Amino acid sequence: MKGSLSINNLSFSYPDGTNALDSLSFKVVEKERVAILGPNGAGKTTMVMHLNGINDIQSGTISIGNEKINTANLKEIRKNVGIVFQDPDQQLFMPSVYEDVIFGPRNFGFTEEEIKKNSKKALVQVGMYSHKDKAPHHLSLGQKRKVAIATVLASNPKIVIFDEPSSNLDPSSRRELIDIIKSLDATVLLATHDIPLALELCPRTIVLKEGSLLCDMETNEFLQNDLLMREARVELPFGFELHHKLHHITNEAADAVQHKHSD
Amino acid sequence: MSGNHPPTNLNTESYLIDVAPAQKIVSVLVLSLSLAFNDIRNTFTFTMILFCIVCFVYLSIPSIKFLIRRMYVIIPFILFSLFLPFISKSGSVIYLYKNIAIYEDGVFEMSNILFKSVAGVSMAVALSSTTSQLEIIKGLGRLKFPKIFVSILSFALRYISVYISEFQRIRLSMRSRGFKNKGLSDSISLAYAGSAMLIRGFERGEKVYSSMISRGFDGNLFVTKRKWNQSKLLYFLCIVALITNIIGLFL
Repeated sequence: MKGSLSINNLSFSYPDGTNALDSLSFKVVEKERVAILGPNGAGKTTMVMHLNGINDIQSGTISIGNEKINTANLKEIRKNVGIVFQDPDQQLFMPSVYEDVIFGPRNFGFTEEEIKKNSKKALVQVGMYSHKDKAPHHLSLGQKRKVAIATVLASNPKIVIFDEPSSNLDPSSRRELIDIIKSLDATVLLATHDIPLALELCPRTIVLKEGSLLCDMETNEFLQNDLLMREARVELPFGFELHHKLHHITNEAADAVQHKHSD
Repeated sequence: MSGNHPPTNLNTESYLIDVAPAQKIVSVLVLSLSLAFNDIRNTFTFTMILFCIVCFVYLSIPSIKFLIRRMYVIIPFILFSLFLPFISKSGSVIYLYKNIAIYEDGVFEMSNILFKSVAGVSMAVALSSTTSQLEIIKGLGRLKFPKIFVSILSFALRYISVYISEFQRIRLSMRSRGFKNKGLSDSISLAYAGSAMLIRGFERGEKVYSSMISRGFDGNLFVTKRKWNQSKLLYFLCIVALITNIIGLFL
């Protein structure tokens, strides 16, 4: 199974009648890093839940690689699409870090040797191997978040989806998280409100509004479009706005100089 | 909630630290039940079983001080038992001073409660000083306790701290808005807080389940196996207790 993703006309309503997704369509190619932005209630988490079959598809289709998600291939889809949930306490339910990390690989039928190798690799990758025998509830939030990522990486997914990965993290934990995401050899989808995080990690941004696609463009381009940002109810953090504009002006000036020299 | 590191209470120097949790659980059950089903009047049986329990406790705990500090829970039982010789009006009077009489049966009842409660709690302390909560749960799984029961215990252990922090946050939020529990009339607010916590717990349960199925959960929880030692001494103590019980039946 490849790490590409295609969503076609996906619509979803909750039992109370709330329309969470409305004819959503987009494609993501293998190894691409894409930010999913949008205000609260835009449908980001609902969409994420569809990508490994937690939410049933009501209408439309989702393909992972060349395979459409259906009940027959759900296990294979879940093996290849890993979700790192917003709240690590939601993700870490086993009594020890190691058991949480091997939970996925065991369910997906990996051999004992693969389980050992993958879990060690995943824990080393997030820098938590020395904590493998600890109880998850005795870790700090930053450590929990890293372990939550390891629980997904241990199954070698082709696509990793992060739901609000930087929420409540202190600056150094946030930096460690960014480094971990950068080190991933997989397609990455990042549902977030953290604009600087999206800009640093994802060249492309998909913006959702009321369950529909508002725009799909380069992150940098989106962040310079005040009109679109206002419509998407997305705002740059104070200070970052000035920094970002200055950075953009400097780049434009450098391009102009280079262009003049080449002429 | 985050970063709370509990003290390690395990006695890593104990001979029993690497013994299989399942064997320790069975030993505690055998010794405790043997003591519970015997009476202090059967002196030989009672003393032998008590001796086995003392051996088990001695092998587990780092010091007497460690044991005593964890036995405060039985103080009410001890206090209650001290009244028994005066209020249990059966059997012969063994001491009489003015209107105060001490009854033989009461003395036996008091000794029974004293020895049994101290021994029972000592066994629990001894088990918990060589076996972590997690290992006890795993041991229950190994003893073929119903899988669902072991899973529930394991989740309870995992999420109890989350619930406590959740409740502490709610209480803090109430206090920050001037709440003081002055009596029964204010307890309704605490009850609402408790119910809010339970509803959140239910929602969290649903989210955890989503997270489980996203990692391929299909109803089977796998348990990691670890190599443990078997203690011949524990087998010996249990066998002695059982044989003593059988002998006790004929004495």
